[in-house]
Formats: sequence, structure tokens, C-alpha cells
Amino acid sequence: MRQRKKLRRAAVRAAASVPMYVLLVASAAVILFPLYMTAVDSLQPISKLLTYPPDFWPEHPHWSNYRSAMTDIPMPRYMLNSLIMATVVTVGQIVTSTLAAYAFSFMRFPFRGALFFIFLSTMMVPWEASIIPNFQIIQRLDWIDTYQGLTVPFLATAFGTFLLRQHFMTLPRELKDAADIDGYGDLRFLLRVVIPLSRAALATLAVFSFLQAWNQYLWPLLVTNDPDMRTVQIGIASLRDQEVQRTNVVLAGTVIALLPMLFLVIAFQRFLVRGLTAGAVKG
Amino acid sequence: MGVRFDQVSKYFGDVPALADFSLDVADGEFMVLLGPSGCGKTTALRILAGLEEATSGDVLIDERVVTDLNARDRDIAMVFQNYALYPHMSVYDNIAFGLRMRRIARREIDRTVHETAELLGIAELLKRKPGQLSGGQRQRVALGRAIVRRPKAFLMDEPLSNLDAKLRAQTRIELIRLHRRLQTTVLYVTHDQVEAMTMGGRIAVMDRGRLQQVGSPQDVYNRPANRFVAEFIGSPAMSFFEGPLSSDASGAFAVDTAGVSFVLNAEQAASARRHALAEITLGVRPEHIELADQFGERATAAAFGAHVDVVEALGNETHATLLVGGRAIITRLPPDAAIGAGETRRFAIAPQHLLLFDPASGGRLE
Amino acid sequence: MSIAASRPRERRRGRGKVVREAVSAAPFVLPSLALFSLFVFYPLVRSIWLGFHATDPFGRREVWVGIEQYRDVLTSSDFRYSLFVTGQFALYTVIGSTAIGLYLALLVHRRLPGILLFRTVYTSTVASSVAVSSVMWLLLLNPGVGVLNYLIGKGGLPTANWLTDPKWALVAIAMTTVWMNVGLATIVILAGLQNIPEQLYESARVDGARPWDQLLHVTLPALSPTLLFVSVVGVIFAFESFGQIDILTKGGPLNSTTVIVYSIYREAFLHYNVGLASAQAVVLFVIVLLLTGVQFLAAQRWVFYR
Repeated sequence: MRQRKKLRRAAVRAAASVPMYVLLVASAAVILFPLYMTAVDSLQPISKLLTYPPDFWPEHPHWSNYRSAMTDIPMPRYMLNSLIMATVVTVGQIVTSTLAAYAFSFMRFPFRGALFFIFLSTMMVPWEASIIPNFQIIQRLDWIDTYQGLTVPFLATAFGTFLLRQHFMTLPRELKDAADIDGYGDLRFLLRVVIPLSRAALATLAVFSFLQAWNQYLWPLLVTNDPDMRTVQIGIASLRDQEVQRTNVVLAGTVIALLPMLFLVIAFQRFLVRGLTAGAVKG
Repeated sequence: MGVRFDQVSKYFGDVPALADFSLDVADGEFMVLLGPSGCGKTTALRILAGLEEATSGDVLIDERVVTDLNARDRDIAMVFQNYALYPHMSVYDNIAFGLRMRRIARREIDRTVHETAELLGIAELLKRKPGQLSGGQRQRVALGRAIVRRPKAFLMDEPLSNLDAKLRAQTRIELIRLHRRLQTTVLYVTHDQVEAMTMGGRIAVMDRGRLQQVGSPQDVYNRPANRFVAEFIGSPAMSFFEGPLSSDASGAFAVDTAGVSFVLNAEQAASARRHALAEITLGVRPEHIELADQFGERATAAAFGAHVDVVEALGNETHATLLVGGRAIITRLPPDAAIGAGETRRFAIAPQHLLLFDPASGGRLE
Repeated sequence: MSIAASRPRERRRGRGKVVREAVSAAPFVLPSLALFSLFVFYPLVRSIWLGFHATDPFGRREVWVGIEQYRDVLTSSDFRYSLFVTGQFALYTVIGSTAIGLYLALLVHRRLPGILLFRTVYTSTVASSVAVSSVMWLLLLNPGVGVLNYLIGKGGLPTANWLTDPKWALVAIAMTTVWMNVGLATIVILAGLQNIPEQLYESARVDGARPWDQLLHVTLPALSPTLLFVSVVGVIFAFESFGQIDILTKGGPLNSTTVIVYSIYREAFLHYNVGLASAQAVVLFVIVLLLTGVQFLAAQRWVFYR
């Protein structure tokens, strides 16, 4: 008798979740649809792309499209440039944010409040409002078409500083007190205690920094002219201009540009949400 | 009437949070669920509330089986440890929330909320938000929210644990008065045995998912069902002596390895013989270990010398930690006891204060 | 010595200590500060300065015109129109991403087997860049063979020439942008949802609240700071948009998708009118500042902090 009741309860619960799954799957389908069509179309011969009604499944996948995408424009070179740029920016942002966040959390110094407000204010200035002078600076330093030009303006981030500061504030004060008593200097405390305890927050920042840097469009467009220095994002835009007729190749290029980031986001999925939860996003 | 747990079990995987828990709570009774953390008391409360599902068993409120009902249909009110007040709503709205959910007329809500606020002494706080209140005030709002619904039972999950000691003592008394006035069934979960003893009409002592004993505070204190209850209730805790039973021509007596020998009286000897034990555990409360020179002419179950290690004068009584054969036991003495650390004194225990336990099962022997 | 009047003398932090503190903190704060000064503050100031100078159509001759140029910008119908376009764009994208992000976050904020998979899917668009999203949607939006029109047609609704019809081009770009932003919106809102204590919901349940009541009285109020953040950031993003326009419509058709940044880009790098572009950039900055301020003011009424 009890067994039957238990089974009935479990069945009711399962039935109640069916409409939820329907919603989940339907929403997923809508979100994934552009990705799906891009993948499909990237494998089609060009004739299929020009027909109506459109095809939803590649009968004969043309992997050669991908080869074309990699060779019609110097895609490997573009990917390398993007990789270098994103890596340098990520490392730079992590270093500068960690140092600044540490100072704002654990140290006392004159004008701390005012400086924090200054950091905050940089988030108010839309980057695009200052592109002209920034471009001129890079020009004057002769950094056009160089990695420095691509990366240096972005080596500091207020967002990263806040994210890390929020996290640092959750670490118990007593750790610092104990370190002070033991005679640890600030740098040692930061390296030996704070950073090991902040791996998750740092991973989150790293993911967001890398993502943002890899996906940049306007700035690389401005500061690079030499095809050797262009990045993947400019690459696929130029692919599009170049291969006006061969959209399938363009889409293949797009997939190539997207794949690394997609992999990054999926592999580090748990840091994305959790990293923002600790300390909370409070506006 | 009242509340009934009928063989309720809750398993998380293979681990039983509650195992075959059965309890009858009379209508209007103040029942305390007491035990250490992890004993299942909060789980039992949450299953009653409908916030968790039992793996097996049934829960009844007012003779009605509510096991399959949603929390909102059970007509109970709950006060959480952290109060769970809605931070964006005023005190008034917090209290009125449950009534609004049941679509009660606005005028009726207004009347009831004001009445309840008056009762709890928070009428001037109605417009404030929880963030602007002190811990004690928040707790009253949480109470108000529960009272206003006139439920069949109040469920309280360690409501006093976030208050400071003084406020706690004060609020305890207020809760007792409130219960007397409202006459509603209360299920009160706590790990603090002082709270349980002072508030409970009856106490249900739990350990590791199982009910150990149900009874009045006196019952539970003087006639503990087993060693766990005996040890958990009472502060300082009871001292235990274990040893083999040996008998001679006149009666039976146990010898503790610490070198204290106990003599059982007739009843106790009969009980020991009945259970045919080779070893026995003896328990005695600290207030029953008395100074031998204050003992007078009464019969003793044991008399022994002990080294006085630490003396704590509390003002209304004195606690002394004694070393007996390498073990430490605590005794409670009157405040004017002439005793000092480092001394060696003689102590005595009267036979009726000895409690007998089965060393294997822990159960107390009658 | 008078006992009544004496007060313990306040110990002020000795000047030596303050200097020491500043010296220790300097290497931690200076790197970021130096970079901000050079690449954020200085450019802002310089933009303002450049805005005071007109550039002649033939080259780099810069002539001081003072406030004139700013006034020209604010009164020019072209600029006003691009402001209008950008405003519309912000409205579409912020409402779109926030609403859909909220829906997805609520959907995925529960314990069901396999929920992590769905969460990964919904947040995946954060991987997509402006260039990637734009090119992806390019084919979808094609009026003739694009899948979007095909599906709409199947559904019986009228199709549109998405990128070439001045009425719909901005909507098309907004669609692309919302899709791109929805991943991040979901992440942020989900983080906000996870911060709501479970006990609040339990209390509401016991009090008689149905799922809809819980959403209205527990979830949304608790989420309001997060929603404010999403909207403020969303507006800033919208006003900073460039890439989608550059790739999909180049500002057209008939300037119906010329957002402010695109206008700045066009003036500065295609027409070499640095002065005018700078003036526009400064106006953009001020507008964004004002909008952010307005949102925070409005927030007083509907955002609840704990």
C-alpha cells in the first residue's frame, strides 16, 4: 500500500515536469537555431544556399568550404593574432585588477575612497567616445599594426577590479591580521594567501577578459591595416566582403572564429554564473 | 486533534535523516523537539510544514492526513530561524502577506494586523522595513506574521538562536505567555536544552533521526529513557561510571575501575539481577555528588576521595571539577561550600540518585 | 588637573604613517590608474578639446571654433536623427535582452535532471562576437532565400526585406543584437536569482503564495538591483554599438541604422572630419551619463536593496 502511494507520488511529480521540459527544449531550439543554420549552411555547396525553399540538412557536406575559409584569407595568421592579443590582454587585466582590488580591499591609504570612485567612473565613459584620441596616441607611438597597439589600451579594467574586490571582501579579515602579526608583507600575503583562495573569481575574470578581447571588432579595425596583423573578427568581416558570392565559405570562416570561444564558454560554464554570484552584482 | 507523525522516515540516499518517527502532539500542546544538530528535528518540522517530502509515513493535522498536500493548504504557520522577512515590504505588508494571499477583505486584514501588532508591541514599527529593525524586533514581526493567520499549529525552527542571551531569556517568557493566551498547538525545534526545559509542555528528545524519549521536563530529567537522554539533558552533564557487577552474599555492588565502589540498594540490585548483566553503567547528576562532611547520617551508595582540580564560583552555586582515578567529573555544590582547588576531599552519593544503564544498549534500567 | 574637562587626546595618524601607506599602496594602484589616465581620461579631455576645432575638408587644418561645433552637432538634423535611431535601438535591445534573459534564467533556475545542459545552451551566445553574430544572421535575414522569411511565411505572417527596407533594418539589427546579448543577460540574472535565499520562498509557500505570487512578491523585488544593472549596462552597450552596423548595413538604408558610434566612425575615419567626430563623441558621452543618471534616479522607486 505504501509502495503504491510512493509510486503514484513519483509519477505525479514526473508528469508535472513534462511541460517544463517542453518549454526548455523549445527555448533551446530557438536559441540554437542561428548556430544550427550557420553550421548547416557552412557545409552546403553554394547552389543550395541560393535555392528556395532553404535546406535544413546538408546531404553532401562540403568540408572543402572550411579549407577555403582557411586559405582564401590568412585565417591561421588571424587566429594567431587573436590568440596573442587575447592572451596578453587577459594576463594584463588579471595582473592589474588583482593588484588594484587587493589595495582597495586590504590596504589603507590616503584618498582610497576617491580613487575607488575614479575607477568606477571609467565604466561610465563609453569606450567608443574616446576612440579618436586613443587612435591618435597609438599612431603617434608608431604602434599601428603592432601587438602593443592592439593590447596596451585594454590592460586595465575597472569591471575586473570590482569583481575581484567583491570577492576579496568575502575573505575573513583575520587572515590579514594573522599575516601582519607573522610579518608577511603585502605582496607575499597576496601571492601566498589571497590568490590561492581566489581561484574561482580569477577564473571567471579570465574567461570574461579573454572572451571580450577575442571578440573585439572596432579597435582592431582601426589600428591594423596590414593583413598580417589583423584579427579573426576583422578576418571574417573581410571574408564576407571578399567572397560576396560564396556565403558558405564565409559561414565556414565564422564557425572557425566561433568555435574556440564556444569551447571556452562550455568548458568553463560553472565559472560564468558562480563567479558573479559570489559578492553579487548590485549595480 | 493536534498533530501526529505516523512512522515518518526521510532518507537522503542511504542516509536516514528521520527513521520511523512517530509522535502524537495534543491539540494546544507546546511540544519541543530537542536534540543535537543532525538529529532530524528540523527535518521532522519541515516535513510537517510541507517543505520537504517524507520518504515514507504520514503526517496528520487535526486528524486529517496532509502528507500529500501543498504547504499552503495545510493551515500551519512557520517562524524561521532567520525570520525570512520580505526585505522590500514594510512590517505591515510582511504581516499581512499571508492574509492577502488568501484574498481576505482589506478591512479585515487591517484590523487583524493592528491587533496582532499591538499584542506583540510592534505597532509603531508597522511602516518600517525589516532592514531598519533590530534582531528582536524582526523576530516579533516573524511571530506576528505567523499569529495573524490563526493557523492550526505554529512551527518554530530555533527562533531564538539569533538573539543575544538576555533577549533570548526575555523572549522565552513572552512566548510562553503568548502560547497560554492563543492556546494553539506549537511545535518548537531547538538544540538548547535550557529552552526546552523551560518552555516545553512536553519534550521529544531526538538523536540521529530517531525519537529517544517523549515526556515532561521532569520526566526527561529524572527518568531519562537511555544514556543519550541522560547525558544530553542537564548542565553540567551527568557523570557516568562503568564497571563489572559483582555480588556477594548480602547484595550486588559494582566496582568502578577508577577505584570508587558503589553499593546498589535493594531495588537496584533486583533490577540488575533481572537484566542478568555482567557489566553496568551508573549515572549520577552533579548536584547529587555531595561533600561527605555535609552528608550527615544518610545511607551512601558510594563514598570516595577525589582531588579537587578546578573550582568555579558562580555566585548562586559552585562547580568543582574532581579528578577520580584519572577521570574528571563535575559536582554542583552550594555557593558557600568550603572547598578549594588542590585539596583532596571526600564525597558521597545517596543511593536513590544513582541511575542504572545497560552498557550495551544504553537503556535505563527500572 | 581637571578631571571633568579632560578628554583623551585624539591620536591622529602621524604624517609619516600616511606617507608610508601611500608608498606601499602605490605599486598596486598605479598600473591601473596610469592606464586609465592615458587611455580613458586623457582621451576624454582631448576629445572635448578636439571638438572645439573644425577640420577643413582638405586636410588637417584645425581652426578654433569653440562652442560653435558643439552647437552645430546638437542642432544638426542628421545627428538628431542618429540619436533617435540609437535611442530606438537601445529600447529594442534592452527590453528584448532583459525580458528574454529573465525568461530563460527563470526557466533554468530549478533542480531538474539535465538542467545544466539547458543552462549551457542558453548562456552560450555569450561566446558569440559582434562579427560572428552579424555574419550568422546575414544569411538568415536574406529576404529571398533566408530561413527567417521562410519560417515567417510558413507561419502565415507577412515577410519583410529585412536589411534593405528602412522600416525594418533597425529591427533586424536589434534582433541580431538581442540574440547576441541574451547569453550574458541570462548569466547575470541567473546569478541574481541564485542570491535569493531559499527561506524567503519557503516562507511564502507556507503563507499561501502560489508560484505566480512568489514570482511577483519574492523574485522580482529581490531581483530589482540585478535588473537595474542589466538595464544600465544594456543601455551603455546599445549606445556603444558599432560592429553589427558596419557589417550588416553600413548605416543604411537611408541612414535608418546610423547609430551614433557609426556616425562618429564615419566622420572621423571615412571623412577625416576629426573635429566634428570628436564633438559627436563628447555629446555621446554626456548623453550616456545622463541616461545612466536617469535610470538610477528612477531606480529609487522600484529597486529594493537588502
